[in-house]
Amino acid sequence: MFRILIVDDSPTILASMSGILSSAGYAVERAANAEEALKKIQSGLSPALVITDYHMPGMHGVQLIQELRKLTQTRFTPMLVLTTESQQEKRDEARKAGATGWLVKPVQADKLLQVVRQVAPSLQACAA
Amino acid sequence: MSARILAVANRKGGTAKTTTVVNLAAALAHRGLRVLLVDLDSQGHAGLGFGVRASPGEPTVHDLYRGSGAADLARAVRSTVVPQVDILPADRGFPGPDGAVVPLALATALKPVAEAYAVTLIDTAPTADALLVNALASAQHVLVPTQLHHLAVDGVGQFARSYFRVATTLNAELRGLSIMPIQVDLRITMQREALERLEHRFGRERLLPGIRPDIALAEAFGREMPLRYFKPRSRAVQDFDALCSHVMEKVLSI
Repeated sequence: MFRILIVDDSPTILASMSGILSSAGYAVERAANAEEALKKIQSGLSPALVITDYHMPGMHGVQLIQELRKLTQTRFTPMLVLTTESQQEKRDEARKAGATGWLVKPVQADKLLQVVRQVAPSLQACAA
Repeated sequence: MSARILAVANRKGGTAKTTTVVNLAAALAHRGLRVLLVDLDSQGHAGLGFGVRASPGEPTVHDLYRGSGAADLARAVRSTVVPQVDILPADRGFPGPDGAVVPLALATALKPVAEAYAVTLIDTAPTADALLVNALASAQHVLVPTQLHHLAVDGVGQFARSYFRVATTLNAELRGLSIMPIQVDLRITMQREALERLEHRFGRERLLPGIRPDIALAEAFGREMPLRYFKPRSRAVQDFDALCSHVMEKVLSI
């Protein structure tokens, strides 16, 4: 099963994004922080797309992407950064770390689904 | 609308079209995007850049231009050494099309195959033939690699006429042309002058970040892999990463 992994320390955002993606037919896995996300992937989860918050306690989202790019199963996985920041320097930092793109909070459902379809179009056919 | 199918084209030869396709595809894959290459140049060098050759009788993109032209391109797709990059290989023995080429032949056949990819890059031959028209009729954006010398402005100008002809007659989705300087060394006066003329004629917003000279780009073809797998710290890898970021933001709108 192809899954989208969402990483965010806010239960509200985890619930709302999971709801949007699940309603659209995607299978979703959640993690409350970067460390939990890494543990899930090291335990065998192979997500088809990662969406991570930027600001989290402990490891932040861009650091998580740097770590995931070192792992075989996520080396080529599309990864989106969720942030309240829209400054160019944050985007450049994310790109250098290997981010595929970003979503600026608050994320609207149609924008979220549009970006998911854009960066991972093959997921559409695999959606449940 | 953001572009998803990009043609890399210039009627002039030796402008690093294939080098661009191979190394930009690798850079996009390393940002997590699944990429399809279309090797429309029957020299098949984009395929060689990924270690892929179609043996005689195996399906290729050039099957579209034989007989009835009713080729199923999905059957021709091959995986490469890079997990996120697939290729529609060339027929290296392609003698030329059988009869007249339908201008939208590639566009029609490619559309369902390209839907599974975030980006499709089409490599083209350095000619102004029916296959170039097919490539432009399939794309939403064109990257034009060019050296910075006195003929560059004229050459890009000639190519731009083909681009506008296709955009106004065959393909209303073809909405962008970007110029990509190669072998850039701005210590050379001629190059600075050529760059100024390109900016003046086509606009600064159409100019992409350039690629500096790096012999490692040619050496990588000998290893049949993109440069980042052969010499990951080389300056051309840095340049292609900067180009990739620009293309993702300004062309693909990701």
